[in-house]
Amino acid sequence: MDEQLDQQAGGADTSGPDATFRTVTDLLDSWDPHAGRNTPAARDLRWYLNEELNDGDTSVWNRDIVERRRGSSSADVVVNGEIGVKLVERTGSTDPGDLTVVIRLLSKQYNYLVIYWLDASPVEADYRRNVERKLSAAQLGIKDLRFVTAPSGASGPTPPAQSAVGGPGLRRPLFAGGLSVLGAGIAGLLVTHFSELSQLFVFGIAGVVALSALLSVFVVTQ
Amino acid sequence: MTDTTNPTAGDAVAETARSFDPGTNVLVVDESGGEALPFSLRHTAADEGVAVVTTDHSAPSVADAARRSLADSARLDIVDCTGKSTGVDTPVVDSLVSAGQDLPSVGEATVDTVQSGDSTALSTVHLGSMSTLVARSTVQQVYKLLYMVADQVRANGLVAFYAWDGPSDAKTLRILGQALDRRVSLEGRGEPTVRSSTEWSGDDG
Repeated sequence: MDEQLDQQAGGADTSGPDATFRTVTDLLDSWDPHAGRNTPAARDLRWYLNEELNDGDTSVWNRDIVERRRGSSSADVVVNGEIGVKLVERTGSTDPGDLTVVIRLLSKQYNYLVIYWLDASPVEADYRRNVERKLSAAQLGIKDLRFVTAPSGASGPTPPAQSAVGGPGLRRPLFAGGLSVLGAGIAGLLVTHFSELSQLFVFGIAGVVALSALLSVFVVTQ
Repeated sequence: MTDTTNPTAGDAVAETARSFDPGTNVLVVDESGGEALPFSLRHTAADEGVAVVTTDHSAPSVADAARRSLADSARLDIVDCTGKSTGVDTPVVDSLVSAGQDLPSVGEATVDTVQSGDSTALSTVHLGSMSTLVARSTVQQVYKLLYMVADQVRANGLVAFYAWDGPSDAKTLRILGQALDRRVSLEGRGEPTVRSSTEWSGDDG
């Protein structure tokens, strides 16, 4: 059977399984997973591939079957039962070996595989390289294996504030500190204007201002 | 396209091989060959009709084999997709239709048969064989055919058997099986085990 498959898939065919796989990978190259903000990436991809692959096909027998699947050991989107597309989210500190195990399982279910990296950020580059170096189509016993990375800028969920260098994580404590200093200054002016004990209050307010400034610097540097 | 897999896939398999619920699509793997059609016919209610779509065996030979297993009153329709219509009279057949060998022709003829099930009192469809269709085309093309036919079988409440004759490749069966609901392997003696598509997707068979 494998020989049969080789014959069917081999050669420079323009309408066979290899051509469909090439079309799918080309479409993935131009897909933006974060264009549909409120739609899960897998659902958006199924819709996108179904629209693009079947654009203009009038005969039901020429239509490509695009299905969404669920489960960790299944591809997320499957084309014609044979082409599996696995979407990989931000990997964080997970072991690249975990993903290679999943890909090996997928290789027993599909003849063509695409691993799509949803997170294109440089932080993930080592992880991606690690996985890509370890695997090949020949090694997995499948017809073809491709890795596609999402367009840069499409780096998955919004990162937490503390990891955003120079972003809102830095601006927020500076703003709070500034407000504290301003509030303390206004309070000091009012007290010195209306009270007999102005000297004492001026020293008190000066202390509060100095403490606020120190606190702001401490928060920012942390 | 639908959002997910078959409606029955993943359910606990309540059926034995003796009975299948209406709307069920069953892949019958028969590595030794020749047993898949008798199996399908044994699992057809005695007085209900059967349509056999054949891609490799001639209509007269299918008619002979079918009549040995079916009750005399049961309807028998044959769709001949062998490309070798003999023109031989087959009086034991209620309807004999010839169709092309190419996949779209086989698919259209099968879907037409399934859709006419209500008016012709059909309860079962046997399509044989998947291995011949894969040899003639590609796994993807056969998957598309199975997907479309299985959808119609579910919609029309029939039971369909898809025979795989001869040596099998585990991955090919796994791929094709995704479009169907159940799988039966005819090996050894006794009543074969029925498995759901999700049950066999993770094993080697």
